Amino acid sequence: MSDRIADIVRRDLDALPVLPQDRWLPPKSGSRRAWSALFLGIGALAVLTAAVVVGGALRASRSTALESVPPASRATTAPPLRITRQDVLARGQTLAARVDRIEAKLIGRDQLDAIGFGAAQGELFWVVAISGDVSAFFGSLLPSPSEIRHGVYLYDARSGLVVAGTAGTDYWPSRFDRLRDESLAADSRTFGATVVELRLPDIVVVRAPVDPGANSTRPLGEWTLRADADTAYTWTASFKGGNAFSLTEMSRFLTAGIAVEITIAGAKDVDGTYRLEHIRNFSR
Amino acid sequence: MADETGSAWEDLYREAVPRVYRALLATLRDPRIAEDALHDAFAEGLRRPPLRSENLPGWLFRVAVRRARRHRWPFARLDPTVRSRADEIAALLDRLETGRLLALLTERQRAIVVAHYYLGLTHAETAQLFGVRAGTVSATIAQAIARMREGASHV
Repeated sequence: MSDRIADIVRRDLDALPVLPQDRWLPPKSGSRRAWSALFLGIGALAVLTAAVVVGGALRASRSTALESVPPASRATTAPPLRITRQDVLARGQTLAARVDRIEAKLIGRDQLDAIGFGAAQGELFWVVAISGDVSAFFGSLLPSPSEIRHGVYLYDARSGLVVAGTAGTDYWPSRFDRLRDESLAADSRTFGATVVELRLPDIVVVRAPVDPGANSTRPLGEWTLRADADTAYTWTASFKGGNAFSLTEMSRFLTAGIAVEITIAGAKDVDGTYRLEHIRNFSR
Repeated sequence: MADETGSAWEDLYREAVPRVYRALLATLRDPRIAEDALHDAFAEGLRRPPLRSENLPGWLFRVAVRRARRHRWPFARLDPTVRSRADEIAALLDRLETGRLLALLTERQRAIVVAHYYLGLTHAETAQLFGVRAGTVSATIAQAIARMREGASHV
């Protein structure tokens, strides 16, 4: 029966009309024009960036993580796709002799100036901030490597290669915290919750208001959240922070009853879970 | 500088549109909702491209189905031209054996059956796309087939 269904589904659905070609793409809107504008221009700092690119590419080429980029989809050629947060964090780790804290955010061209990489080419990037011993990477480029306490690296989100880098003497780059993470869904919601239980490797159940936006009556309910390779983890304690690339690594912090701030995708999946986009502790 | 990546995405999207649009028609049973959901999926791909490992038609289908579930575009139904086209598609689906059988299923069951049997995704790929376990996909398909088998004797 299932073979027959497969046959008739294929046969019949191929008989359905196709959308006229002039309506395949959405009508041009302000946002699409804005998107096109993302691809304009190369800044004057390209030469300086190139110096960092060479260093970054050489170091990145030593990384085994570079070889772990998933193969291209069997159904497509040269897909304009991107590496995951887990991928880029693994690559970032290889640039530092010691990592105290590491985080990544996905950004478009519109935020490059805010992080000081306005000259970089491309349109979608991961910014990786690392606190720790990053002097080896910048030692030959900056005068006082011993004072360097953090590094910020710009990765092309499609190729996974470092395209720029900068360093600073603060423990953590405050500019990084002000970046908007474009990996979050447009309808993401952020609210406080209490951890109920972990179901490793990818599920965390939290207790939170049934309607997080409500101001008055806020009955509590349980939310089942599913982490994936793009989920972001932030764990800070005073100036220090924790590093986690997966819910399993995060499990030592996420004990029952602990308060967290969560960001989830707006729509519930068919199995009743919500995609966990970001989880952070409240002790910052 | 040309928007090379955007163009590449558009090329890939165009390649997938015919199959994905038909899959959406069969699942959502409304051409206006299918078209708007497809446009949303294209825009989502510009903003947040799918991962390299993802099946592109499957990704477009999943994003579009989720968008459609969230927005039902009630005003579109007031447009008599759109309504008439929706009626034509509904009538066409009713004439097709598949259309009649799929109408017996819930939207979720339809989505999974269409993804598996029409877009050709494996149980594992379907599970990954819809964020469920492979066992859930198998069970859903089994339930759907049982329902369609039962319906086939009546339609």
